[in-house]
Amino acid sequence: MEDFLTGVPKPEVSEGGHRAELKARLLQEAARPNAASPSPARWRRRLVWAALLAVVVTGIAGAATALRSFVVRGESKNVTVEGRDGPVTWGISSSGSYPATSQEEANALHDAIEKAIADGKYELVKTVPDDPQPVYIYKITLPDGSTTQIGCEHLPRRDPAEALREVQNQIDQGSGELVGINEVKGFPEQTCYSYRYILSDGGVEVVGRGAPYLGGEEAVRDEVKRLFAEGKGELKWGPPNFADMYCYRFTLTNGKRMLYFTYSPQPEK
Amino acid sequence: MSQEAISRKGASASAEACNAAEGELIERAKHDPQAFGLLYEAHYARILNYVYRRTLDVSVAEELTSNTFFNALRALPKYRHRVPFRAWLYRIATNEVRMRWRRLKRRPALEAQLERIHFSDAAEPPDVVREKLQSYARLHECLARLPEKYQAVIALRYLEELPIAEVAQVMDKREGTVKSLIHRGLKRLRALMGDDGATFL
Repeated sequence: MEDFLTGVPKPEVSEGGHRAELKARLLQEAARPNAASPSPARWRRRLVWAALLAVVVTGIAGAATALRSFVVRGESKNVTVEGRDGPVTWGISSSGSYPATSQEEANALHDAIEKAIADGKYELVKTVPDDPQPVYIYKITLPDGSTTQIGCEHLPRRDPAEALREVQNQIDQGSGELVGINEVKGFPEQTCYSYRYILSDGGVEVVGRGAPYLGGEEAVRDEVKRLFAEGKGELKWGPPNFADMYCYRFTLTNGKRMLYFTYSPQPEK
Repeated sequence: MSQEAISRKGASASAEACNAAEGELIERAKHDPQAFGLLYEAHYARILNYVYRRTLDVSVAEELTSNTFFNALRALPKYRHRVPFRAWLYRIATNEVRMRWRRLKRRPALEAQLERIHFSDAAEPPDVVREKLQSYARLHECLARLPEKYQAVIALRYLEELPIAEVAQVMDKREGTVKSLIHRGLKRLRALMGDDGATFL
């Protein structure tokens, strides 16, 4: 097999005009003031807003009568990983929307599911494609022995630091894909950005950051806010699924899809 | 001192000198666009061809190569020489391919791209190029069915012909781990290619 791979003819691309065109763009970018990344000190000072929203998004199997959706926000904690320029602290939290008859019941369900996941008592049933990340449907065995199914926006991991190390590695290399613009509750003038990362185990993680780093995020933010004001978004979900948060989907002029997470409904067209 | 020892020492010193020269260039490139241009010229073809061999789509390869160099430019102030620059670029490109991999819906139109593809320095008739490209595409299809971690190490080791140590630097893994990944990846690839009826040694 090794001989075959070593001997197989390898295709090469005739470069055409791309080399010169890209070089011109790179030199222009390099010559721009403030083109370089922020200094490490500034990098460390910036607000790392949140990561790993482990959201339970689908209904619990069972009787649906008299059930309402209740949002449970789990305990937040910090995870510190080693970045290229030193330790980086990420805030992580787990929250979900649960069909229940009361907030207390939803809280209890959330705790039971968290414990089951921590104990490894889950089994992947299927993966449903979605944007910006797939929804993983898990069969959970609750502490009382009963089973239920939940949808998660990421693969449950016993050690979130493992995933965050990979995410941080990609950030350090300037990789990542902007997938959403987030309004910060109570601070409408501030913006957070959602980025998507594909990890080596195939898992997709979408994390939020308080400051852009790829370049061009502000232009995307401005376009999304303009489209939102013009009522051109498509509602992906909204209250009561996730308390008072709305998620709208937009198609930008360059054809890319972008989400906008906001606390106000979109004005009508 | 034996001749072998001398030549080894010579190669090592030369590599160190190259590394030092490139290191100096990288430091300059942090504030001098022209120096970045020299680094770009030195590495462009390798990265473009690597991404092409991973995606088999010229336009996607050009787009991901652009992303790779723009990401490198932005991240350059934080580059600390812990891995050689080439391995660092390969790492960024590998991440770009990984990010793109799942979003690629369309298959590349191999026929439409023939005029941009060649297999050796000598000019070959289009039908020879077509046949070789289709043969490579079959290998590519089998590779694409492997988990990404195997695809990357096999591509870096056998298509890019990087030494194990450099593959380890690109993947940010130990050499032993890379060897093990290659071993397992080849085993799976052999099974897949066998299933497809391909013949190989």
